[in-house]
Amino acid sequence: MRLLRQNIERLEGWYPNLFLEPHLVAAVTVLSEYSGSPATVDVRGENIAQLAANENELQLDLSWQQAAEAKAERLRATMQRKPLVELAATAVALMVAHRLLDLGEVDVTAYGERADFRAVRRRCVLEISGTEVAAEFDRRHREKVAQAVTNPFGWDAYVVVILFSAKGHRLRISRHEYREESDE
Amino acid sequence: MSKSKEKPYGPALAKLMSEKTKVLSQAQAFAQMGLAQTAQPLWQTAGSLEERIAPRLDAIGRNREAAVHRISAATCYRNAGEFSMATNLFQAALAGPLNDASRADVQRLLEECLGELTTSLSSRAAVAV
Repeated sequence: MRLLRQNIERLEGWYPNLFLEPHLVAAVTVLSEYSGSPATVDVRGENIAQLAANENELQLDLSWQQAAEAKAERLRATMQRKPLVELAATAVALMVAHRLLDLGEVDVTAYGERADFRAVRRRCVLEISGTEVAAEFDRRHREKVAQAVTNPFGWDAYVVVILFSAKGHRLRISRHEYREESDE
Repeated sequence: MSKSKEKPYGPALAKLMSEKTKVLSQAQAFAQMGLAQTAQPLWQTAGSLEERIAPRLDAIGRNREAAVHRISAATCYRNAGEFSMATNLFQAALAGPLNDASRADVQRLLEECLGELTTSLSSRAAVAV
């Protein structure tokens, strides 16, 4: 199985136009509750052209420095759990997107309650979600796919859903074509 | 407009989009962290930048993207409590080339925003009396 090693603190350098400090601290906050650094995430790719046929399952090792844990402690004390998990999921998803998809610069738009990420130099959007409830993992992925294939840009979509769990963190990344029939 | 008629963003628009993304991602992060007061002026700034981006996208044939940035501008203004501006921009987005799912979303967002505008105007009137 292919192994990806990644230091969480490098995230901001890859996306200089995004404000990601709380996201990476949130990732350390959530991951450090389950294990010390590095944390292992089982990654499953579906329909990802950048992955060879025998490379659809990968292992991602996420590491962080001890200094990040002090910030994580403060964030844990001040944030509610659901948004904390969403911020953490965004950090991990953007890391995987950078390593596997090479999306380049990402633009963010506000759309109702949610944030939409999309690549600037490629015609694709990125839908991200995270949960700590194993039973929700596949359902959340289905919901995100349904949302992604009718995205307002009319572009193809990558969906990344992450499960943070004591039984093992899991990440599912999949690519989906835009559904043309939903056009006017 | 077809994809082939779309022109590249160009450096000035790309810079504006990048600047907006920085501000908007700050607003979103602070809002998620429960820091609504810190986020409020950032929503306002992001809305203003999105408003400038949308017509520039129209000018280079990216009408669908322009509509999405109008939705984004409206959402930012709504989050900043500027319901009149948000309402106008949701209506402007509806005039653009949206797919059925997005059109239904924007109709719902517009109705919610009109409700918030009505409530806001009523409470101001009550204070004035």
